[in-house]
Amino acid sequence: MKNTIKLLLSIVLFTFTMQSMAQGELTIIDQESKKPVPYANICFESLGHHSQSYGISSLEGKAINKAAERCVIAISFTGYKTLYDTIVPGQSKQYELEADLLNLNQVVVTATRSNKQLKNVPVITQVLLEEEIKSRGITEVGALLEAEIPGLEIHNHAWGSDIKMQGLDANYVLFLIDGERMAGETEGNVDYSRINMNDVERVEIVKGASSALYGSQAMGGVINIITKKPRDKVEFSMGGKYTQMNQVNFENLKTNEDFYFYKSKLDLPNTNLNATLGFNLNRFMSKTNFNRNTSDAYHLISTDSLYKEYEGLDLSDVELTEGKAPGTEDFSISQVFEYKLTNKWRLRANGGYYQQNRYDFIRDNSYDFFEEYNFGLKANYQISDINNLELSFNRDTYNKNKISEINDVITPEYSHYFYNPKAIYNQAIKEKHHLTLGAEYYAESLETLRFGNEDHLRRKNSNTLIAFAQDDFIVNSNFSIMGGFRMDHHSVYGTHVTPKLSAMYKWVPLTFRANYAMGFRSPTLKELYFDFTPAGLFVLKGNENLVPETNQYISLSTEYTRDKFNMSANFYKSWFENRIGGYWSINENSKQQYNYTNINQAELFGIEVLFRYRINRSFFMSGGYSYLNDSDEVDSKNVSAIAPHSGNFRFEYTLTKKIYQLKVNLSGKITGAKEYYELDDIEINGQIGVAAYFVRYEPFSIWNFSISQSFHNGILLVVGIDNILDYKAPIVSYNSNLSPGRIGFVSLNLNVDHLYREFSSLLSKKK
Amino acid sequence: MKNFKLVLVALMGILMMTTSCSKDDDENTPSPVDGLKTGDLILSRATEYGEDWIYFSFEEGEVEINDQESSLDWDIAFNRYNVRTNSGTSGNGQGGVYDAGAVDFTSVLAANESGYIVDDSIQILESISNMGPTFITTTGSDVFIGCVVRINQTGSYETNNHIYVVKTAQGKYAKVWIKGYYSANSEPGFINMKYAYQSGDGMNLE
Repeated sequence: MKNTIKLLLSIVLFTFTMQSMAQGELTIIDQESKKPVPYANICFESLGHHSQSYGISSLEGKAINKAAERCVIAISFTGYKTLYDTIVPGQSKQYELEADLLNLNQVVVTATRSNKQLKNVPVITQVLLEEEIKSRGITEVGALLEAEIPGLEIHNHAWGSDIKMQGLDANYVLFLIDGERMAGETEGNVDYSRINMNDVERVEIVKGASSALYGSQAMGGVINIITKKPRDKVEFSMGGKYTQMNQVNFENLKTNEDFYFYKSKLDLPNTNLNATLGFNLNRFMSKTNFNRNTSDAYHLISTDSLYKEYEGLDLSDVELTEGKAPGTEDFSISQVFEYKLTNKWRLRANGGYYQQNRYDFIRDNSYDFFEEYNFGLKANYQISDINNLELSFNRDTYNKNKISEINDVITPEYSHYFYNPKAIYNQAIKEKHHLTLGAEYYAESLETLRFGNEDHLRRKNSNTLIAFAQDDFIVNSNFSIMGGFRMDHHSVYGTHVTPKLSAMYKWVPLTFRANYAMGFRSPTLKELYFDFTPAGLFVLKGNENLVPETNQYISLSTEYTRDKFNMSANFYKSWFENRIGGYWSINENSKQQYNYTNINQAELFGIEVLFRYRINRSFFMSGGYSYLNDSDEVDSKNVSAIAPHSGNFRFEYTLTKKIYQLKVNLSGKITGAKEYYELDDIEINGQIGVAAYFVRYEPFSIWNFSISQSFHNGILLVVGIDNILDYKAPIVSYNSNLSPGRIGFVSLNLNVDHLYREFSSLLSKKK
Repeated sequence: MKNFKLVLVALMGILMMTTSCSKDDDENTPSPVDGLKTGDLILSRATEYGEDWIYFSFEEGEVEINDQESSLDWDIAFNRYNVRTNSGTSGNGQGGVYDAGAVDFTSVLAANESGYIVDDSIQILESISNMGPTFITTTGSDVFIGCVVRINQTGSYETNNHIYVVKTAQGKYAKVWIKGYYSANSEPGFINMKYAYQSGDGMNLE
C-alpha cells in the first residue's frame, strides 16, 4: 500500500516537473467582473500529432502554457461557455470567459445519439450535473430523479425500487449507462444500485417516446447516465458517506443469539465508500472505480387502516398494511481504457463487476445474491472532418441467486444476459444535414426456474436485427427538422417499423419544438415463455403470440430563455395500443391460470413546466410542475396510481471566498392527492377474478436540506437532512411513499490530486 | 518498554479471543448434571398436505411410527404447520402442551405443574384445487394452531415465536420453539425447532 502511494506521488510530482519546464502563462478571467476564474479546465490539443495535455487554472486564474507546438486550446468551467483558441509554445495570453449561467451551451447526446448543444436539441432534455449531485450528497440515482423530475415517483417494494415517469411504469422507461442498456429487470426496473453516483458526470433525461433511436422500452422516456472521464494526467479521489440508520430492528445483538446472521444483516450501517483512480496521458486514458454500499432494512406499519369496499360485490375488508425495505450490501469495480491509436482511430475497452446481497425480513434461511458483469469494446474511426464510423460491442450479464445462511450453498434463480454489436455512421452534408445510419444486433437470453419445470433451470432466447436512419436537417439558424425511422426484426414476432419526426423553430427569446414519435416495447422473454406456479397456487402463463406494445406520442413545447432565466412548457399526449396485460382462466389441469395477452388500449396526456433562474452569482432556483391525465381504465374505473399533480422546487445559495466554497441547498417534492381504484385478484365462487376498491391518498411533500463546504477544490464536506419535515405515509402501500422519516447524513470526498497540486504550488511560492 | 507494552496488549487480546472462542464451543452441549438436553434442528423433509406426519422423540430424534395411537416412542409430530403431542385423541402417552406465549426461549426456566392441554380434533389442509382448498378432520393439538402463519402479501411463512412447553409420552418436559418453516435452501414446509428437554425427573428447563 505504501509503495503504491509512493508511486502515485512520484507520478504526480513528475507531472509538475514537466509543467515547470514549459514557458508562457495563461490568465483566465471572468468577462463581466474581470476577476480571475480558478479551477478552469484547460485542454491543449496539438495540431500535428493530435496529442493532448491538460491543465487547471490556479486561484489567481493563472495556468502554464503547456503547448509543445501549435495547439488548439479549449478552456471550460461550469457556468461558462467553452472557449476555443489556437496557441503557440511560450505564448502568454489572457482569456475572458463568457458566462453560461444555465449551461445551455453544454453538449448532450441522448436526444439525437450525437453531440449537440442543449439549446439546439429538438427534444427537450433535462440535464442534472455532477456538481448538483455531489454538493447535495446524493448517492442514489432514484433520490436524485425523484427530487428533480416533476411527475416522477419511486415506489419501494420488497423486491426493490419501482420507478414511474409521466404516468408510465418502469416497463416504459429506458435506463442507459453511456448509451448502453443494462441487463436484468424486475417489473421493468433495472437494478438501480448498479449506478455508481460517484462516477456520474451528468444525467440526461429525455421524456417521451424515443424508440426510433433506442428501440424497445423507450416509450415513455430515456434516462442516460453519462460517466466521468479523467482530465488530468493523474487523478485520485476517495470519499465516504455515513447516513443515520433508517430503523434499528434489533438492539444489543449478541453473536451467539438465535438468528444472529439474519438479525445483524438487517441492521447494517448506512454507508457508502468510493475511490477513483484515473490517468490521462496523451494517447492513453484509464479510469478505475471502486464503490461499496451498505444499507439497513426497515419495516413500516400504517398508522391508518386501509378500507377495501369491493365495487359491485358485497365484500369488504379492513387492513393495516405494512411495507418493508430490504437491507443491502453491495460492491462494484469498473475499469475503462481508451487509446488513441492514430489521429483517426480511437479505441475503448471497458469492463465491470457488481454484486449485491439483499437481506429481507423473510426468515427463510437464505438471502438474495445478485451478480452482474459487463464488458464493452468500441472503435471510433474519424474518416474525415465530416464523417465518422463507430463500431461497438457490449455484453452484460445479470444473475439472481439465493445463498443459504446455514450452509452457504448458492442456488441460481435466474440469469439474464444480452450482447449487442452496433455500427453507427455519421455524415455531415454541406453543414445542412447531419445523417446518422445505424445497424445493430441484439441477442438476449434468460435462464430461469420459471419456464415450465420448476426443478431445473431452462433457457429461452430471442434476437433482434435492427437498422435505423436519422437526418438532422438544419434549414437555417432558426429552423431545423429531424426525422428518422427504425426497423426491428425480432425472432419471435417479426418486423416492426418505428418512425419519428420533430421540428424546432427559434424566435428569440422563444424556442418552439414539435415532436411526433412512435414508441414500442417488445414482449419480454418472461411474457413470452413464463410457465410457473408460484407457491403451488396458480399458474402464470406466457404467450408466444404476443406482439409489441406501441404508443403514438406527440409533444409541443415552448422554451423561453433570457440570460438568467430559462423556462419551458411542454404538452404531450400518448396513445397506447396492444398493452400487455392478462386475464384469469381455468386451465386443463383445473388450476387457476393467469394468461399474458395484448389486451388494452389507453391514452394519457399531460403538461409539464420547468424553470431555472440564476438570480445572481449567489442565488439559484429551479423547479417544475407536472399535470397528468391518465385514462388507464379497467371496467371503466380509473386505475392510474400516479398523482395527477406534482411539483418540485430547489433553492441554492452559493458563497465563494478564494479557496472556500459554501453551497446550501433546499429542495422539495410535492405530490398531490391520488384517487383511483386499486385492483385485487380475489377468488369468488372458485374462480379468481379482479375486484376493485376505491382508494384516496392525501397530498404530501418531502423536503431535503444540505450544506456543502469545499476547501481548495479538493475537500468536499456535506452534511444534510433528508425528509426534514419527517413525513411518514399514514397508509403504507406499493403506491405511497416509503420514506422511514427524517434522516441525517454526512459525507466527505477528497480529490487527492487537486490537493497535492494546491499544496505543492503553495509550497513552491513560499520558497 | 513501549514494545513490552505492545506485546502485553497483543497477548491479552489473544487470550480474550481464545476464551471467547471456547465459550462459543460450549454452547448447545448438554449439561450432564441435571439431564437437560438441547437441540436446534430442521426436520429432514417437507411434509405433504393430507395425512403425512413426521414423528419426533426428544430422546431419539425423528422416528418411524406405525401406530401412533398405541406407541409411546414419540413425543411430538408435525404435518406442514400442524402439530400433535402424544396425548388425548392422538396417542396414549402422558403428553400435552401449554403455551408460554411469545417470550424469550431462555426465559422459560421450568415447566408448570399443570395446565397441559391434550390433543383433540383439528382441521388440516388436504389439497388445493380449482374448487378451493379442501380440509379433513384429524387428531392434533389446538394449542399449536398459528405457530406458523402464511403472509398472503408475500406468499412467505412466519412463525409466532411462542414457546410451548410440551409434556412427553413418558411424562417428562420439554420447551419447544418453532423457529422457522424453511429448509437450509429455503424451500418451505420444513419445521425448524429449537428445544430444551429435561431427560431427568426434574422440571427445570434452563
